Amino acid sequence: MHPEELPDGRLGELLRAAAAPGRPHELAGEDAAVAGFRRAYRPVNRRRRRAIALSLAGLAAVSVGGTAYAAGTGHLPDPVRAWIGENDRPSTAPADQRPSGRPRATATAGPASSVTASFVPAEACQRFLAFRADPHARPVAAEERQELARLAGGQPAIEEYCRRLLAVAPSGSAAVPTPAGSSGNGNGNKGDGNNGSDSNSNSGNGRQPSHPAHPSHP
Amino acid sequence: MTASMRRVADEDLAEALAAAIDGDPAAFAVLWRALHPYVLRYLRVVCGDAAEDVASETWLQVSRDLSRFRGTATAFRVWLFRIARNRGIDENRRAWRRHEEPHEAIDQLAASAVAPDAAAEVVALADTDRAVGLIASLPREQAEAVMLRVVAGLDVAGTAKVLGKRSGAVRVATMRGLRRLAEHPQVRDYRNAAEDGSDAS
Repeated sequence: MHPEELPDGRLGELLRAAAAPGRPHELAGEDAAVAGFRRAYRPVNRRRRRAIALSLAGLAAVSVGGTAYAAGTGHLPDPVRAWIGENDRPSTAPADQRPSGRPRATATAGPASSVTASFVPAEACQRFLAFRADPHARPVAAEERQELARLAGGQPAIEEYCRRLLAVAPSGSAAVPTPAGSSGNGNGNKGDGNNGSDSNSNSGNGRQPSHPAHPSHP
Repeated sequence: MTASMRRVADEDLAEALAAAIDGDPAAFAVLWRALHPYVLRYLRVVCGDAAEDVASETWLQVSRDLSRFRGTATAFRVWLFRIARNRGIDENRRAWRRHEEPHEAIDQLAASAVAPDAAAEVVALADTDRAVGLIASLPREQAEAVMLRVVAGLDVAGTAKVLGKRSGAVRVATMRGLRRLAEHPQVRDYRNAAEDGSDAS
């Protein structure tokens, strides 16, 4: 109610009394109220928004820069993998149905599903072997293991498959490019994709595809 | 409303509100100091003796949800009193289930306020508690409307939001409440003849 709306006289006096500034005993609970605020306050909005924005930016960076990092870390949640797979997967990449045998490092990148679109056999093998050697190393993700088993022709054959793959793969090409290819030295290559878990063939940061990434788009 | 009784203006609370939304306890304290007395007095009308406890619950809920609040300081005032009202009504329901008299305190206050012998007393209307008690003696709808308009400092639209009523209903309830107060013995008998223009309309 606007000040000028309040009446004068007795009624105005009453209303002004009712709306008088806070008196000491009414303000005595300030410390308790502030303590309650400290306990109960839940930061959600802006920080969550910022976090979402950052994760989206990160996602965009990964998808732009290639999926090598995403696959290399093995830490992306499945929906993210699927999302990347759906977006980066070449339309005509053939599913590799080779039986076990001598692995072909450069032909095994064809994804069997969107989940494994970012799957890089050489990198998965590096982690697989690293985990074999050191139980404290990060294990291979379940779907990567499945994919390795598919390529190797069964779970028991994975190790043999991997040893062959890494042994035959020249240093520069062991890291099979992802189906999407890496069109640049981009933001996605953080450079630590699989350091520390391999000693065989990782040529390091910013790997470039050694062959055309999009056979269907000459 | 004279300058001496002016509450903290909403524009002065805007800065504190923004900082409190971001989690600043000192800013929250500014809001609390500016508004808690009026929450407390409004809740005396809504839930009587439970006002202190319900006011504490109200501020706790505000603390919990403040980071999600979006709006002006005026909207915050509406939000705050709406929470207070809901909490107060919940408390009344709990009190009802406990088979207590939820409005005992208010009824006693109101009874004393309208008692014929009380009207004969020289009453210091400037006393805030007695003034709130007189307003609380009004029919509930009118009492709340008067408290929200006059004490909480809400406009008609804000009061309507808190009460869940249409603006027209708020105007009518406020006007009737003020008129009724003006006719109250404790008010009427001490009104100067020269101040007849002070009717509540």
